[in-house]
Amino acid sequence: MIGEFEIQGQDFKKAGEASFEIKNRLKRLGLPPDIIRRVATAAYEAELNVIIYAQKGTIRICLEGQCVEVKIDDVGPGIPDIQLAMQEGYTTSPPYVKQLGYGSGMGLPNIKKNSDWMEIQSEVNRGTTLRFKVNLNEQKKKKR
Amino acid sequence: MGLRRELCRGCTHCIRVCPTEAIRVRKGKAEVMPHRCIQCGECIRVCPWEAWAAQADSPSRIRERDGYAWALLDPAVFGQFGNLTSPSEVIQAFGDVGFSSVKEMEEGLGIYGRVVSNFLSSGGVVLPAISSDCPAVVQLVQVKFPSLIENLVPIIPPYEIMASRLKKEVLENSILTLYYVVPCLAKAQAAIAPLSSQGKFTGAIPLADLYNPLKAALRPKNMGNPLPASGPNYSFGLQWAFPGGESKALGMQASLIVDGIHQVAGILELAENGLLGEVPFIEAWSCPGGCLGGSLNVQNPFWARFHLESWMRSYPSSPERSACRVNSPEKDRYRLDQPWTPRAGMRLDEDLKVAMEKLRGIDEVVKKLPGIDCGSCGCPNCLALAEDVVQGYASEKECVYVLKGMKVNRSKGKERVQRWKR
Repeated sequence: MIGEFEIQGQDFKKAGEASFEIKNRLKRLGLPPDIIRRVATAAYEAELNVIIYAQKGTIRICLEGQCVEVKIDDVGPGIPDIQLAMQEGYTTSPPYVKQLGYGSGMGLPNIKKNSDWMEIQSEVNRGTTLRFKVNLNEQKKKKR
Repeated sequence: MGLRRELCRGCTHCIRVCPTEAIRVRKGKAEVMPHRCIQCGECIRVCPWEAWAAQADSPSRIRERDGYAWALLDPAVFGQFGNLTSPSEVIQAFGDVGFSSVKEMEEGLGIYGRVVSNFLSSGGVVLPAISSDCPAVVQLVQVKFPSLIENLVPIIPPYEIMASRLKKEVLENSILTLYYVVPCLAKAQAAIAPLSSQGKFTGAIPLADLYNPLKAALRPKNMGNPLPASGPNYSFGLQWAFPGGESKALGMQASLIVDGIHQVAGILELAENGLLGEVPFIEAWSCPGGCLGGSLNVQNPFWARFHLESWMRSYPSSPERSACRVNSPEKDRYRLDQPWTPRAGMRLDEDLKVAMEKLRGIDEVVKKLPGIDCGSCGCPNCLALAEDVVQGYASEKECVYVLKGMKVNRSKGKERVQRWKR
């Protein structure tokens, strides 16, 4: 286990704090820069999803063999159509969230782009569990 | 970075401002962890006892080399003497402190500007490109933001370009020495340990050490040994001394300009998370107010900028566009052949498994600490002490709370989460 972080829904002021801390912890572990960047970027998107849509959630990050695994559990509305949610630009975020500059429908696609494996389990009106992995020895070069 | 131990009182001012948490107070004296130090000079700026000193040459060295010492002046130098003193008078006055010839940076900045513009307009640049002009910013990237190393502009900095050109011109004569008159620690260090093989100076001299004799020489009719009047022909080089000048000189349409090392770290944090959107170029300076704010300068940076800007108005801004085209030998010569490498400043251990254990250990130790970041233990905050305990550099007993068995005052219900701020 590298760390565990509680996230409160709607707490936009603290957006990014958990993924910032994740990044700092990965740097303390001395992981390759590219891996850190990818994990942190994906974790940031996941953290924001919890803040935007859910009541609360937990991010757990651990090192499993040769990969970094991140698991995000939330209590919230769930995702009715995961395939649709994975499409770039598709979003159900309310207008006030868009005004804050979030919710552009890039969250899940970005997580997929930055991870080597990803899985979503969701139950409507209950919550969502998102897991993703980044392999340590597979250094993909990705354009930002 | 050197500490004059006899002056240090172990007051902990410096440990709090260090952007990489590189300083500890142990046995009543400050100590630097060299693998983390980025030469930003924040500790020099904040020390009330003037205990931190730049490792640079003393002006007496110049006298010893009487008549054979050349100086390269950083643009920030010209802002230090008030708006009644022109840049060319400042250059003349350097004769009185023992230099036989003085150059300013205009030529090097011109070349640098052309090569960098050319690089930025070529394909395959990783955005946002980060200016590599400020050596402290480069080191901050190496220590804390290694994933952004590929964003640094791989061109050797203007002072090294100047050093290589001056060497070709004159320094084949082995009696001559070349000094860089610097506004800050980072440039002093860069002058003696350059990125490129050709960019080495004999040494660096802090402007502050020359200030009094120069000021004396600049009083009317006081100059005993004036050098021939020369000086910049344009204002683009002078504006390099403060934030925004570089972007302007590069003709950047859009750039993010940031100064002050903590603000720079904040921007790099955003860049690392890919949150800077379409920003093509980051002009970043370690010192507040750019190089005019360097910790080895004398004047208040904003006052200095006022002086500098009033002089800039009397020069044309930059040479004709046609003179700005970069030729291909230039382009290649000043390209950095070896890119920067990450520095393992923040890493807990080389072995990932051991590092994981240490991370867990830190979480355990930190629970026993009060979380008030008082600094009495000599670490910048409780988390840093926990880190030092796990690394074997310190003991929990350094904490007065732990030592006296005092109750840790935590807010009810939820435990205060200790987080790395840096």
